Amino acid sequence: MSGYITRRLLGMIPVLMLIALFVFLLIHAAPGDPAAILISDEASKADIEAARQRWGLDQPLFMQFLHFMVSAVQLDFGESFKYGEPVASLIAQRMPASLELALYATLFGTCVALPLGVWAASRPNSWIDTLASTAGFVGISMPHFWLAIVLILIFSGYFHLLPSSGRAALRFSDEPITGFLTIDALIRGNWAAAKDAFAHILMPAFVLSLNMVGIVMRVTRSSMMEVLQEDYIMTARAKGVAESIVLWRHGFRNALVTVITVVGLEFGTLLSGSIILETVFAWPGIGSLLLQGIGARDYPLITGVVMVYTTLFILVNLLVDVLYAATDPRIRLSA
Amino acid sequence: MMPEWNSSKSLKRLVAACATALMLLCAPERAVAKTTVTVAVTETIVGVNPYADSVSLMNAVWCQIYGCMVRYVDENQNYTSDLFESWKVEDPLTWVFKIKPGLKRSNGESVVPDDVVHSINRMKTDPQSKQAHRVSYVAEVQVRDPHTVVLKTTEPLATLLEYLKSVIITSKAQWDAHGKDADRDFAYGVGPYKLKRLAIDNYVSIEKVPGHPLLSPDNPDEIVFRIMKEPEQRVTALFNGEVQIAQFIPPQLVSRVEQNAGTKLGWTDSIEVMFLAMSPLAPPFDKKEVRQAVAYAIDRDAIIKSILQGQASRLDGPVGPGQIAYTPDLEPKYPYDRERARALLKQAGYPDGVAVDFYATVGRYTSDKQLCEAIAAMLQKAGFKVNLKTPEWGTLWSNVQKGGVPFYYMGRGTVVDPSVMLAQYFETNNTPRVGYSNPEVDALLKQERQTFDFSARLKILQKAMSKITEEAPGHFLWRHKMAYGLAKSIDFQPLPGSEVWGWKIKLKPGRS
Repeated sequence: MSGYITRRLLGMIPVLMLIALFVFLLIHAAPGDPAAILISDEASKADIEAARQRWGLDQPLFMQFLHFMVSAVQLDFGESFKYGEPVASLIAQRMPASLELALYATLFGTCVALPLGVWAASRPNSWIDTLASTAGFVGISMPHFWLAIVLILIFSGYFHLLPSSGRAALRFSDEPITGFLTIDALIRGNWAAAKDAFAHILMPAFVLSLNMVGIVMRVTRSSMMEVLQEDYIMTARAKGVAESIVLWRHGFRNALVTVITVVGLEFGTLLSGSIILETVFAWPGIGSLLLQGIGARDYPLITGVVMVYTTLFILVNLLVDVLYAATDPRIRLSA
Repeated sequence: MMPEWNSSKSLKRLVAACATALMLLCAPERAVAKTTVTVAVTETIVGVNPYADSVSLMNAVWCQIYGCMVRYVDENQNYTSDLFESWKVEDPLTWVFKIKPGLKRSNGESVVPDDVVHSINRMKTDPQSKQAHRVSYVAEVQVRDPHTVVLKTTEPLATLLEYLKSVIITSKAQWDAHGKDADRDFAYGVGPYKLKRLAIDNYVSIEKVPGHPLLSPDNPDEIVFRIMKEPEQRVTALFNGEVQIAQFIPPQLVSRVEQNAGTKLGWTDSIEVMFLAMSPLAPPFDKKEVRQAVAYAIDRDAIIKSILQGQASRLDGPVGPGQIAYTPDLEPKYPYDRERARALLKQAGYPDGVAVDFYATVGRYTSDKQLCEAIAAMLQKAGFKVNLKTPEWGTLWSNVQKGGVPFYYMGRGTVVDPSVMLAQYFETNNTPRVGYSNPEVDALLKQERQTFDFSARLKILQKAMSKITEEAPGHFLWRHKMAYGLAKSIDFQPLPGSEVWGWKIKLKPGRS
């Protein structure tokens, strides 16, 4: 197992380099000059040229890329053109927000999708199955930014039940412990802060989870239906085992392998797919940071964030494979 | 037959648990005793370095923390200063500033002339500084005595204060002791508020300096500026009580704010000049008649009435009422006259019309896309064959800065004194944004910058503006009326420059 993990981690390196090269070339090919965009409207040509020199943009492209890669291997993504802060520091500040949102969306998604999928599989072609399938399709098809705006209008604008944006009321801002505001508040025993943090994350996590609910529900249903046809299920029922145990201990456990894979991939998608929602909800994650970077042509910031997304995605995939092996003893992660 | 799984009990329990959790989450909070006003803003917050931002909102935030060299004191654009008791022009290249006696920062440290030297040098040399251009005319800063600072300019410049109004004065001693950390942890100034907390591109929070002479008990103890770029977001947060001031309510949301029980509107005329730029370097705009035809073809009043719902005032020249050098007698004016536009096109050698690429901004200014679509339609009716292009802002602005855009819609903000704007866009070789060159205009603009007699300077400016308007490398359209959404529990009159000064926010009695 450790050998397998080591090989997979080493395999990340050429992938990251290729991604870095691709992103670097793509953003430099995009029209727009960061110096012209970021320096003040009142700046002169000389000021703009001075900024370009300061940021190394007057260097040949391959020199810029070389400089970037040499720094990146030392985990130094350079300094943001727009914010003047190390990119690594900016990402570190904003990452917990994105991770917290993705985690709660995954939690919500799986808590809804898994029972729904099992339930639908246990009663195929019934009204429950139809309802669950419809809910799944709606979750996959619904434009999330539209739903987000509608929910904000209803729950914040009209009924004043939930906050419309942000991550927490500022009066609860304390030094982070884990960086997850909900967990930090619970650790501190500050119930008002915990309630506030949960209230802020509820709508964005719900909207973000919808796509996952649809996909995971469908996969769970089909996986369960396949497993429920197996002989050992018939044997268990014949022995008089309670139906809930048949479904969950015998059926679901064996269907879990496929589900884990999908949930893992979906988690990676949630991380990168939250960019628009972070803007709608003014959620201070790395998605909205990336959007700001793209608008400003902040090359170090864009490249740094994309590299982080790529790394996370690769690590999540690795974790999924390890869990895969842990769940199914028949699977060996061999040389 | 598949055995039944009775899940209705589990389902009921699950639904009950979710409903309970939702009810607990939605229970209202008790209000806190300290008064806090939250302002929903659209600008960026770059970081704790006061010289790294170039937007007027953040400049105002740093100004009320550290103090500015000068700022406007009222609607009549009279200057005041947080640091200087007086200033004078000793000779055309020398300005002398006297520091207020006994002036101290919030930590008790005295303000000294070295702070001014340090701050101006930092604006020029700090790698993160986006404000170097504001002190580009300052050749040298000298300390004459413990209370006097002397600025030497590169050329006679009557408008120096217009540049200096954004200059933040930070402490040299704190910088020498702590370096970059001084901005975050030792941000001591002479302003009525001090920095409490800042999250890059998220919010900045400032809190009262007790006993500051500018403040009264009905000013908020804390002001939080939160970035909310989407207008719906700002309005919803206002209705929800999350913010008490929401900047820049677009025309289509004004009536919602007005009709909402707990909110009201505050209005101000913007000092952002909206105009069409036409480069004389690019045909067909190399012909004055074509540029003037554009001006006559656009019915600005109809656009203001219909698309902007009356929330703008037409410009007949580069400036409007309240801006320096405005005169209602400026000529020529360009009343809407489609036939005249056609005649001018014919005169220019385009009897069958002419094709033009028109670059519109999208999402940058109020209703910009709709406005540009209306402008394009009007131009079409006057004989132009308009190819409307809507590039993303970063792309458009980069190309404008390089001089590659022949015809575009643009706004130039913070125009109280038009001197800087006119030089930027219409003086030869200042910037390539328009590519206009006229020796007469160049001479007038240079002369007005160097004329210290205010009345004489106004006349020269008006002459320059008249010439520019007549030649029409820019057709001046309107200034928006900016609507702010306000909670009824506060009084605040929005300012044309979009600054939010803490001492101008008054909390009504009984609000906690």
